[in-house]
Amino acid sequence: MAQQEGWSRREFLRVSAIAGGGLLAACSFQQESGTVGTDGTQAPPPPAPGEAWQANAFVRIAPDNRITILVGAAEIGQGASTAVPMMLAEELDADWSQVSWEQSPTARDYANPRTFSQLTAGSATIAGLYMPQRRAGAAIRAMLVRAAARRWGVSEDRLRTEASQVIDDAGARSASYGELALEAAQQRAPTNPALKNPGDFRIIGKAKRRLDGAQKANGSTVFGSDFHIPDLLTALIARPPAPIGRLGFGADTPQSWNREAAMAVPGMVDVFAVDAGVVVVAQDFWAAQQGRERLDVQWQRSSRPHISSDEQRQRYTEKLDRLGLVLRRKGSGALLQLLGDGVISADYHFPYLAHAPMEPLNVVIDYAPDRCEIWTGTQWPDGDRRVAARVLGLQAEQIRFNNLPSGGSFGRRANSAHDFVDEAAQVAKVLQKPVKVMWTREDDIRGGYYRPSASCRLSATLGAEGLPSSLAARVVVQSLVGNIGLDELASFGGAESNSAQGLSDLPYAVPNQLVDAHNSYDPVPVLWMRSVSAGFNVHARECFIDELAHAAGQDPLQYRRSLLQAEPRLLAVLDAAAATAGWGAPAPCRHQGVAVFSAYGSHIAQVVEASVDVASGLKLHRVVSAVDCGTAINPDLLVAQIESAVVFSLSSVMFGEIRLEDGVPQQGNFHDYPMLRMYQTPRIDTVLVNSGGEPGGVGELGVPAVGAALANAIFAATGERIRELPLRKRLVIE
Amino acid sequence: MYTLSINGTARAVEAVADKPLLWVLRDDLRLTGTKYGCGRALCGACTVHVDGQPTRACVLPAGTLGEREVTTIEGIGASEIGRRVQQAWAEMNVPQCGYCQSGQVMAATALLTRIPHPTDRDIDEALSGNLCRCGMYTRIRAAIHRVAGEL
Repeated sequence: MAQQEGWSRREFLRVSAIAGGGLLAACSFQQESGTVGTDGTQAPPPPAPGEAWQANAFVRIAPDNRITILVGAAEIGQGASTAVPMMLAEELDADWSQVSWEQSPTARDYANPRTFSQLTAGSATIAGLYMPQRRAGAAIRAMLVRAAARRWGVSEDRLRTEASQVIDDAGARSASYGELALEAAQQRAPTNPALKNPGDFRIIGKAKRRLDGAQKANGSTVFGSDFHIPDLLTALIARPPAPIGRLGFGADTPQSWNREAAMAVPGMVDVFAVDAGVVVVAQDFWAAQQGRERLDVQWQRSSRPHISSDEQRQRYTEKLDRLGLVLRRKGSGALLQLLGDGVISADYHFPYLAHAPMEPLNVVIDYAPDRCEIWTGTQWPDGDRRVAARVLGLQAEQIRFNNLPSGGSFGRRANSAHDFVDEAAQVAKVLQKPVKVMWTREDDIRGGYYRPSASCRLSATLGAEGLPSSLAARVVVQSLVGNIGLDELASFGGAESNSAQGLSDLPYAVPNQLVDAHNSYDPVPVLWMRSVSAGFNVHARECFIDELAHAAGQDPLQYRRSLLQAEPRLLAVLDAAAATAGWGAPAPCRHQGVAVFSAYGSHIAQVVEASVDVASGLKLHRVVSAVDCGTAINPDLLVAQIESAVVFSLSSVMFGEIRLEDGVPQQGNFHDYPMLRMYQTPRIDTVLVNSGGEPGGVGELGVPAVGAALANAIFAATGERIRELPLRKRLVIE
Repeated sequence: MYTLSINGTARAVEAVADKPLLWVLRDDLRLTGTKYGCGRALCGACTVHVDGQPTRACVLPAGTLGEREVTTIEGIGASEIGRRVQQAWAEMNVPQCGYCQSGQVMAATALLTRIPHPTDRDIDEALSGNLCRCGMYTRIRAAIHRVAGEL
């Protein structure tokens, strides 16, 4: 886009936004981002002396040289609030010790080009924002340099920048960004600012402390559940016991309830029904919980099937015998071979899983006709706002939507149904008073939107040197795409490639491949969970490759190496993991398993060392991960992400299971939906073997393979294949 | 109406006697650093100190506390060990989402106060009641050892 002289500040800001992202040409900076009034169109005032300069959508520079970087991505624990500012601060040449972060408003300026929205998901934050953040920083740096050059009457070429200073070495003078901000604001924003050579990076690639770490260590971070406004009431919802529908569509409906008993609890304010269930409103959580316990709701059973896990397993197992929708076909003969003799085949079964973030869902909503403000921790603020607007009959821009740090999420707060904001809006529409709609832990674990249960059948024939000549994979699973209302599109196949993630993109060199999927239309609402379909598909795949290696009489590591010769990055992480773990030479009575995974532009290999004792059962000793994500923005946070994924995944693989009986989840809290604890957590080592280039995603990377590596280690220890999760169904785990 | 001693200050509370300390802290006193995670003493997110002992506030009726001294995450930084624990947490990038970390810091501070140089086994015993869904256990362990090294 061409620039013209004499643009007004409003227009300049628009140009800046473009320079900062190249993705926002159609929308103006002010439209949604400013202080939001009822019309949502307040423009920020021009800067006055002594005021901070809002340089573009992303940066504020204060006269005292403090720099605030606005982060559009959600902070759900992954460290976006540190890594995103690092990318911008790098090109800005900011003094990192003076940089702080702020959650951005909900506005199109902050969309991630990978998700076309403020959806923080798919391990796309770093990959999607790497160039836009760097361009935004470089553009502002160029304006600051230009301002200094004009002030001093020198050429820009002789100036350099470092630690928030423009420095004129020849003139032996410098000026801070804060001093220059006012003049810089008058300069034109370059549309295509020069970016640094990665070799010159001073911030990117360095281990930095989290910008939110101290607050999270002293309890001062305000999560959604901590947020307070005057006269705030607390609401809980009695939802149908069987999560088999969506907010009034297909679920059981409340037939009767004991309003008097609930209202008798001191502090109770109101009881009423909405589509989501029966709402109890009270002065505080404790009263609301006491009130809800006395409601005694009688539910009218809907006509939808109330499925049970055992019955579902039987159906899925039957479907494994039938050809599904073919999603990938490579070479020829896979099908014929797989009907013949010498076929190796194994079925793997995976249960429903709950995300169970430590902070249960909650939404604070202050609604009166024509006015609404919402505070919640979410991965999808713009999508949530759209749904709230629909429920309340408002325009999205009329709702001021504040995204707060989330106490974990793992996909639960990225719901295409936007369930928790939808129902909070339903409550607010009736109540028309400030209210915090809270979920208890039981509400969370029993509330549906699970990682779907799945069954996978892998079959192969072995050819020369024991390597697979053909491999067929079939998955039976509820459609995640269908969950966002695309059932018909899903039936065309393309969209359903999501179900085959990790199978249809097989990294191994197998000449003949066939992948097909059955989408089961069970009524249980399902949702992506950290690593999505790879969570089951890659687990099955990596266990099965191990089975093939064993059938071929080969070492599982060498077997993979033979099949990955065309995948140099994967081969490199595999070798690095093997070297670090001391593959082939575990301590006495310990056994190793290995697995690999590639996605989001990143690669990982993981080795698990475990022992299995008849009396004390399974014990984890060590997990080694080797990662190539191209470029690490903050290597220590990257390592933390892998450590997190290892524990998250092992929790699922060892313990995680939501069982349904007559549609009702049988688990409800951490005693029957356990997760790894300190004493069960092994030593975790993570090595980076980054190959350079643009950064890939890492938030989900460490999840799918580690469980398979564990299952393979258990086989090495016991000679027994466990093909059904969680492992504790078959193994003692203390 | 009763009085609680919170972080060295007497606080008047108007709440039913069986209301758990967690909700008195959060809803009545607006001390929201102490978190709700399970409501059944299963996760440790609500850990506070009662007379120095790590205690689950979500199942502790506040009306039974009497004169006992309650310390929360908002007050623990006033102690030398608490301050060092919080500092190590920030320096070693222990928190991810951070929601469980108030409880982790309280449990770690109680451990280091009782045993200044804990073994891994001591850490297992003292911290295994505190869940971290982000899985930062190895960092919590390393940070405790670092603080111990300074004591």
